[in-house]
Amino acid sequence: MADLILEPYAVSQRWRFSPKDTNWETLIVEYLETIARTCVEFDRCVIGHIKALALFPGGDYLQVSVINPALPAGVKGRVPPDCAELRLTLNVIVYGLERDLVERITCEAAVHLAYRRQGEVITET
Amino acid sequence: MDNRKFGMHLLLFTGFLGSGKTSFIIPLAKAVAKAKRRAAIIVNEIGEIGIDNQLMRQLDLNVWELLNGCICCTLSSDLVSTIQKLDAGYSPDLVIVESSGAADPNNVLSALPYYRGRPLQSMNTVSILDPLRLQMLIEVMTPLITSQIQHADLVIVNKIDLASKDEVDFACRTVQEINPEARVRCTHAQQRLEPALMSELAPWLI
Repeated sequence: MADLILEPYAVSQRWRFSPKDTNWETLIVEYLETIARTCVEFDRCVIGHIKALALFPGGDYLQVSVINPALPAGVKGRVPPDCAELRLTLNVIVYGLERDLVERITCEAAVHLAYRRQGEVITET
Repeated sequence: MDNRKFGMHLLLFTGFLGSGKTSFIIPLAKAVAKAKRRAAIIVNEIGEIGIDNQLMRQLDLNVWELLNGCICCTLSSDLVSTIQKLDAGYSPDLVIVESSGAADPNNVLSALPYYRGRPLQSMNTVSILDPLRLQMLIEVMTPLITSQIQHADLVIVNKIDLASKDEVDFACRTVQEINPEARVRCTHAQQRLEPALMSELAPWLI
């Protein structure tokens, strides 16, 4: 463990997708699982947790947590109907990967998700 | 009730990242509030932007956060001063400290004697274990995981609804080997906080 680096990465994002075709839970789980799968492709990576909190206008929330891409994601909370956007806080806490690499993995996963599902993911911080 | 007449209880939750600490803390804090007592939660997250603190606020719980560092090293003095401010300004019956999953409880416990406030009526350390990952974690992070078990008064083996019997047995055996004095309870956080476990976490509330 002594030489496994830990450089936590956190980011705030704003997501906009068409409410008609969007299952928010599926979308967020897919995003986190993609990040987790990419991280474990690197040798010596140990996932601490990859966790997101989505806050919807009106006060509802969805919390999604992935600790292993081979295990089901943990999901709590509820999604309001007909919602087109949310604010998402993402924490990627993985041992063995540098922060810049984690940031790149996270960013590329967001770009691909937005492209595939025809939506928008804007990084705020 | 004038809480300042009484001492304060402190529960330190440890356990590796993703083990389920928050899932036990939220119902515990809600149960304390329901009993008309005051619970304050100090959340330590190592990321720059916390998630557990936002979630707890969303649920109307009383949360103080220590972000962007670890209470077992860079933020240990901040933890002590936060507990003192809480005591002076809020007089809680129970302070719950959720340490980051990367924190070594030994270092946290070493800082607590510097606390100067109302006497602590009780101080207990609860360690949450994830049996699904324990075998892997104990191989790659031996000192951290060992310390989190070694310093616990109570070990909760969580996620038994997802783990195999072998994984749960391994977790129980590991605790027994490292800390035979610890009480061990097997459960999963998806169910309601059982009265038996509740009475272990906050016997003064019953």
